[in-house]
Amino acid sequence: MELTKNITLGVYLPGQSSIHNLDPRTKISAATILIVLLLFARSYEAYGLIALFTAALIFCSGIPSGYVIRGLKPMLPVLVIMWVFQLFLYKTPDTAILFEWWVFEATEAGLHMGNLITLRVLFLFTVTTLLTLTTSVVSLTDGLESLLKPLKMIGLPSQELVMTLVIALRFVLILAEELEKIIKAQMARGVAFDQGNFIQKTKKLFPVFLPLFIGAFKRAEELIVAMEARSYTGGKGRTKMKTLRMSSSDLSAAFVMLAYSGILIYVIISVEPII
Amino acid sequence: MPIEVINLNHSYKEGTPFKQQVLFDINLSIDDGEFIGIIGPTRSGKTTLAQHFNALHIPRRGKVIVDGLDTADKQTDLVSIRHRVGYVFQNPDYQLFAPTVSEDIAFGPTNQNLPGNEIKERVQEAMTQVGLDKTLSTRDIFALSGGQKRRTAIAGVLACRPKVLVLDDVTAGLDPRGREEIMSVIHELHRKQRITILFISNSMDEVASLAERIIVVDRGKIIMDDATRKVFARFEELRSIGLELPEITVLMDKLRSAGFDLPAGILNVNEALSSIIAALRKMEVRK
Amino acid sequence: MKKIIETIGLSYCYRAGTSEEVKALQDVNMSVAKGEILAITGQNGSGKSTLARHFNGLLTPTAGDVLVNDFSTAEKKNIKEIRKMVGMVFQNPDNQLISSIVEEDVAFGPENLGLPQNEIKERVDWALCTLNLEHLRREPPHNLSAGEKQQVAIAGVLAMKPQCIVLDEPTAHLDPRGRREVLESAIRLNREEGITIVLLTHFMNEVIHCDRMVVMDNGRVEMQGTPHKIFRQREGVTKMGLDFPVSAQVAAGLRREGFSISPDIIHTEELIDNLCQLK
Repeated sequence: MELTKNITLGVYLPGQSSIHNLDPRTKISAATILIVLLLFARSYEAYGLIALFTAALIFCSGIPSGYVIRGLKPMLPVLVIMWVFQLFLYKTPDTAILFEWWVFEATEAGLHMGNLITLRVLFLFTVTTLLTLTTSVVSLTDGLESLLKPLKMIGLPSQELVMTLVIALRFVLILAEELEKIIKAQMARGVAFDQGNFIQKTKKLFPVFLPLFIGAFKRAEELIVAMEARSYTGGKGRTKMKTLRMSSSDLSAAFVMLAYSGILIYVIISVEPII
Repeated sequence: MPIEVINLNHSYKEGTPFKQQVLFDINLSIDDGEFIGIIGPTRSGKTTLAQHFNALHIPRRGKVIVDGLDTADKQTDLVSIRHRVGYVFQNPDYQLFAPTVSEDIAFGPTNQNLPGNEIKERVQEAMTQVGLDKTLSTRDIFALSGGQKRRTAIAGVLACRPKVLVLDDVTAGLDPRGREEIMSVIHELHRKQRITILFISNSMDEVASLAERIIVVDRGKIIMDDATRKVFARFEELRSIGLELPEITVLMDKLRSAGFDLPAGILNVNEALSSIIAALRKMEVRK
Repeated sequence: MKKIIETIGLSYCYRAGTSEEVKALQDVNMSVAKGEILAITGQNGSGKSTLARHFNGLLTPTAGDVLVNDFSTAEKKNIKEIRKMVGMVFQNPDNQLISSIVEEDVAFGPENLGLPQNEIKERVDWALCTLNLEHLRREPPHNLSAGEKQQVAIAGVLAMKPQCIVLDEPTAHLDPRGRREVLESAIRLNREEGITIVLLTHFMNEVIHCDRMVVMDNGRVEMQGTPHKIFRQREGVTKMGLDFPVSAQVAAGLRREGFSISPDIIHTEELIDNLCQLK
């Protein structure tokens, strides 16, 4: 019984690789660019290039590729369902029909759409996982805070938002552990979570989430009191212990990103989209 | 109902870069009706070990045999093992979730698909066993005191009629009176029902006053497994792994160093008193 | 001696003015002297935690007044200063650590005070050093034992340089070793840094190391005085649902047998000395 074992999103794996040592702002900006480019990639050629670059990134980060892939496992059912939906439901007027099943028709357009969306989600997940695996929560939030600062001028409470994120990330593991304890306590009294049909299984989750929510609210209350006792009154008037500094390796990273983006944009423009 | 542990090893996060072995070659056997204290510093692996007894952890290397059944065997009905080996967790808030006391206690027997009147009977019996008053049966869980919550949690496990009861640090956070009440409930369960008790605790005073045998776990290994008195006589070793001794044992040790003729391995105040009195009389101290 | 905190006729009701009103504190008059270690004890639900939360204005009185260095907590404009003067550590360390890195968490309070960067760094270094936590500074709290987490929480408060630290059952969920270490830290902060300490606890072996103790029951202060004076009142202490320190238990047993043992014994050393005199 180990719930936290397969969670890779939001987990930081300390290391000394060239990617680990980049300024968090560089990494966050790069990840954002990679994700935006993903949204425009609509050909297998583009995804080939993305796959190559992502593989290179994983290699540079020194993180075992098996560990990154393990994190994809829990998403598999969702991906399969999405793929099937697209296969049967997405249609263009002139597409070829591959086969029929009951009242549904699988089309060639649907197949490509399913593939594209699945690839998109896969790489989106891989890029974000890679970001959190190589960046500690603290530098991640420091980076975000610094990047979001200009938005304060248009009234976005960036400091408060980042503080919320800091706390949320701190409590993800605590809540996961708590969930594990609650499930164990239920199993100890004879609940078999792995038996029964879907509805029965869902019903069994009720006694699990109730204590979890109650516990979470209690924690939140105590946390608010503790923050108040340490003079927290929102972002105003707060100073920071650390300031971020860029180095020459951030410059090289920017060049690599620029080159890669250029090539990818060229591929996106010049290759006919598959759909 | 004996429990047998053979060459048990256990690692967390197996197959990830965070892999960490927490149990090493554990061998252990537990007989019917024993009262065993399990002690060790924080993160020594005592909870992980205990969670193997009711198949919350299934061994990958080594064996755990409960009542003749191998928990790693696919044929073994794990639910029935968990009913035979009850487990009470440290924090009752994780365990209690039904709106009222009696509904919560009924949760285990309901999972066993017992008839309604049998469930009722068991709920009442369990409440009596832990000394919860009948009037509390419709009480809102959240309106209970810390001590009552713990007793409800224990009753919820007892309602499954376990033969072995694992108590994982169940007195943490209680005030002296609440602690005393829980201790006497546990003592009675063992004395009257002859339930095998595995008592995990950070409080050496509690362990010393109740357990007949003590297992000391340190860094995933069993380093002592002996009668309570013999274990606490080895205080230098216990201290070296970061355990604190029962206060009374420390006091007696200091008195011995101050030249009083006192036996080693004293575990409670009454024993201490009679041996001090005997020593003083022997020295013919005038009153 | 100068008082750092004083409550005058303090009463507090939860859900005041509704039908579910609960009187948590009734006419509490007590004070904390500058530089002392004060223990507040009493059964769960006796109101000690509610009382402690009045000391830095987390709660304000329904009736009566609480003064911190002569500032009333009832006045909103005083709160900021009061929180700087009186820091607070809570029972569950998991629910008071904010950051995922120890040193960042210790910096949280000073950052809130808006201090310049180099001063924050100095204070964080000083707080971690004072509590011997330097080796943990880059660790995530997740990897620490409960005792270490509680020490970090204390460091976080210490870095705000308060005159007084209130510890609300900081040892309730710790193992005996963690408990001893937190107690030792509290005593050291008192003796070496001159910080006034208020310690809420159920453990009598912690109470006996304090200069003075306050016993609460049903929202009222029932006993106040030095531990020696209080533990002499055997009936009163039993009625409050408290334990006796182990040495006091042994001493009482010997006295019952007619040996000439002082009724004032609460420490191991006192009992040993007394017994040696009998030899």
